[in-house]
Formats: sequence, structure tokens, C-alpha cells
Amino acid sequence: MDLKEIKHLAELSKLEFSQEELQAFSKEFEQLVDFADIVKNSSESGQIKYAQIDMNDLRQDKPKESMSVEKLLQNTPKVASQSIVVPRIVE
Amino acid sequence: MEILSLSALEIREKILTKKLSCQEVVKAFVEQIKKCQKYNAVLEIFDDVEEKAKEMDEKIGQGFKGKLAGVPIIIKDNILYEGKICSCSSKFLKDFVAPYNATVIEKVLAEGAIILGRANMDEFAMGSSTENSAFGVTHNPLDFDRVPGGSSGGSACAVALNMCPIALGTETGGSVRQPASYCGIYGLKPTYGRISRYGIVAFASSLDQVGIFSKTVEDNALMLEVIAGGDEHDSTSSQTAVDNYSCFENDCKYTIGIPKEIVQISQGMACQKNYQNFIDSLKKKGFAVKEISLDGISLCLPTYYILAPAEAASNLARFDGVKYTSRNKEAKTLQEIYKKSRSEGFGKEVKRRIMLGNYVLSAGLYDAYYKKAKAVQGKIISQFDKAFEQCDLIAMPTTIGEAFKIGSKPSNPIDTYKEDVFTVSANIAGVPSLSIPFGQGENGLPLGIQILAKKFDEKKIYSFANSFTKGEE
Repeated sequence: MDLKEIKHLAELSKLEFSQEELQAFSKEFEQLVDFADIVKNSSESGQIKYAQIDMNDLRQDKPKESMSVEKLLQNTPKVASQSIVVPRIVE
Repeated sequence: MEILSLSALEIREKILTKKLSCQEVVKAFVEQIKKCQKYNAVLEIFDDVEEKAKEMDEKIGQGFKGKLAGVPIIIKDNILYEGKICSCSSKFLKDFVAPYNATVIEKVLAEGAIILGRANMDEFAMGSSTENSAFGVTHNPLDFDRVPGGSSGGSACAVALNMCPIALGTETGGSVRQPASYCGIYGLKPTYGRISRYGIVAFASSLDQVGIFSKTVEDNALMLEVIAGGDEHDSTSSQTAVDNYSCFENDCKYTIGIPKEIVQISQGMACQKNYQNFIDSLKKKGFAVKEISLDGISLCLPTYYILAPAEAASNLARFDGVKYTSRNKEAKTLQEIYKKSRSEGFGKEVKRRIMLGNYVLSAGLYDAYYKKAKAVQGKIISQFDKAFEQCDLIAMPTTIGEAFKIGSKPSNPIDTYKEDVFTVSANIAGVPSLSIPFGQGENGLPLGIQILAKKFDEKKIYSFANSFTKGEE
């Protein structure tokens, strides 16, 4: 895997790495991908089930008391008028 | 000293019969936590424990007899306890205050437990040593230079050093059983769906489960009885009836399966002799031992390292510096907030797994990796189903050997991942597994053997463990 691909992956992951970190990472990544390739190249195959449990017991769709806005926002880094503040994204 | 070595059941009994007060019990354990500070197992002792103990004494005085009445416990730092910090041992969440209680917390509080504090862990539960914590490594309770295992290393160390009789951890690929084995205690990974995951910070949702650490089989079973069960807040939790796990079956003439592939894999490993000793011991005690086959088992580990990072990459996308994590101060645009906050917030191992996860999920590779891994998982599940037609329980080593030295596995991540070689199969198959302390390695440190059962057959595991260990004493 070349540096360009690693950089693209970092971009998709919303992560930044220094040049040094990227170099070290591309080496490591090769080992990780080789390890994952054991599965890719295996001839074993069974039934695909995306949920481990055969159920999806949904609760009744009835309104109930919920958390307060203050509580929901108590961990938000920047809040104004009960809203999350982020930099302007539309010019 | 006497209080500290009591089991949870004994503590409850002594409190209910007024031989001890909850306040005395809590005081003794809090002092022990403070005494053991250098192990770095507990990140915070909650400031309201004395008050809660006083309230509990009053409640018990009025006739309350909860299953955990007055029993102090410690929780892993990824379980939400309302009003307390829950940091997942990450810089990113160091100030995060839980806005609600996890279902397991509601359940233990309803039965009278006192939650003393939160335990150190590998950041976001990613690791096998607790070395990935942003708040420093936890030390092995029996050898200070070694790791306690991970990711629930703090919880395991706390129980082993008598800071509490029971602690909660979480498992995705062995994070309860491996540290239990390294610390010489019991560690359960229940059936997937047995315990609600509501209020547990997600790592890999199709694999994550809450687990239980204890010094006795009885305490472990008691805790499962309290926290198991369906939950309307978690649609992956099962409505299957909760057994009375702590009423052990007396006649345990179980057939124990020994997978020949595990015997092969363990050749040359430090655990090999101990595994053989365990098998001999089974025979001596009159258990039927049967060779079985799980021929896809060597694929479990690489399958796990596709599924878990893929789900982690998706789950951890929510930590973006916008909603509830710390935000980078210099970031000027929204994209910069995401990138800079995540880059300074997450540690190295977490970043590595996010990258790997996004790689295996990326366009053009999804079928070859993720979908293929799910197909292999399907195969492994059917092999376990078949194996359990021939035996009641399966026994295998929990770890490849004794706890390793702190800092001894820094260079190659795969080396550390291989620590999970025996534990991941139970997670991949969704079956329950209990690590029981058995034997020692060449340095005199504990080893463990894990006992696996069919889904929802935890009672059989406990009954076996009870019957097996009774004979050991």
C-alpha cells in the first residue's frame, strides 16, 4: 500500500498524521492487511447473518418522558440557545 | 483485612444479619483502593460512596433484602453511571459526564450494590494489556512489572487485589476472560444478547457484551442473575428467560469437548502443559472427555480483526469534537474540527483500528473482507452448533501463557492481537465462556482454562465450574 492510499484512508477516517507517522503506518498496515488476507483467501464459507440474534423486539411506539435538552447538551463543547455551535458551513 | 477477603455473598449475609454495616464494608474497600493506588487499577473513587452506604444501611434497617444489598462493586470506565465521568480511558472523553444510567447500572443499584468507582481500561476497549489507556498502564496484581491483561485490566486487578468482590467489564474479543486469567480470578463473557448493552460505549456492536469478574463461581453467577435479561432499550438483548444461575445443578456428569485443533494450536505454547493437566484432571474427576473438531477455528482471529475494526470505525465516527467530546481549540472549519479533534483525542491503537476498519469497508474491498468475514463467521457458528451436539461443554486455554511484561510487545500489532487467539472464537460464535483459574506458568503466575457452552447455557458452565473447583480445594 502506498502513501497516497494511506493518506486517502486517513482523509476518509477524518484523521491527521505527521509524515513520520504515515511512513510508520504504511509499514504496519501491510502486516494488518496480510493478516486480513487470510480470511479473504480462505475457502471457508457459511450462511451470512448480519445480526447475531434472530430477533428485533421493538418497543411500542408510544411517547414517553425523555431526557431534557440541558442534559443532552451537558457534554457539548460549544452551546448557544439550546443548540450546538459549529463554524459556518454555508456562505 | 477480614472484610476484604469476603465474597459478595458473605458480605451481603453479614450486612443483612447486622454483623457488619454497609458503611464499615465500604470504608474498608475504599481504604484498600487507596492503598493499592500504585497499581493504577481505579481511575476514580466516586465522591458519594459514604453517603450511599449510609442510605443503604437505613434501607436495610427497613427490611430491604436486595440480591446485592450493601455489596461494593467497581465498573469499567465505559459503562454509563449517571452524573459520573465515563472516559473510556480516552483523552477524548476525559470530561464526559454520563447523562443516564446503563441498564446494568439500574439493575445493580436496584439490588442494593454500592458502586465504588471506575476502573482503568485500554482506550475504547481496544487492547489486551491496558497499556493503551490514556491514563497510564495498570499493573498486574501479582507481578508489578507485568500487564494485568485487557482491555478490562483495571476491573480484573481490582478484584484480584480485594478492592471489591465483584467488578464489571466488557468483552469484544476476550477483554474479560484474558485479564481474569492473568489475574487468577473468574471472568465471564455471557451469550451475546444475554445482558443489555444500553449505556455501554459501543466498540463492535455485533460482538460487545458486558462481562463479570469475581473471586468465586457463586458471586459470578449471582451477578449474572441480577444483570441478565431483555431490555426495551437494546433490541439485540434477548427475552430468553433468566435462569437461577446460582442454584447449581448437583449432578454434573457433563461431557467435555476438547477441540483437536486447539490442542494443535497450543503445541509449543506456554499453556500447553497446563491444558493437558486440565484434561487429565477432568478424567480423574470422572468427567467424560471427548475429542471434537472445530476446523475453522484458526480463522477466528483474522475474522475478528476484520469485523471488530469495521464496526469500530463506524461506531467511533460519532466522536467528532462537535456533540460530546473535547474540541480542538485551533480548528476553524467544521472539517478541521473533525480532523484535529479526533487526531488529538484518539490514541494510536484506536486510530490504527479506525483506519483498518475503513479500509476493509471501503468500496471495492467490502465483499472481499467484511462480507467474506461474515461468511466465515457463519461457518464457525455452524461448527460450534455441531460440536455441541457431541458434548455439553468445550474446554480450551484462555491465554497462550502467563501475563507478559509491560512494554514487551510494542513493535508489531499482530503480535499483541495474537494474545486473543483462544478467546475470540466465543465472541465470533456468540456463545458464553467462563475463564476459571487453573494452574500456573513457569514464573508462578496464574493461568486460566475457559469453559464454553451453547448459547444461553451459562448455568451449565457455572454448575461445572462449581463442581470442578470444589474438588480442587
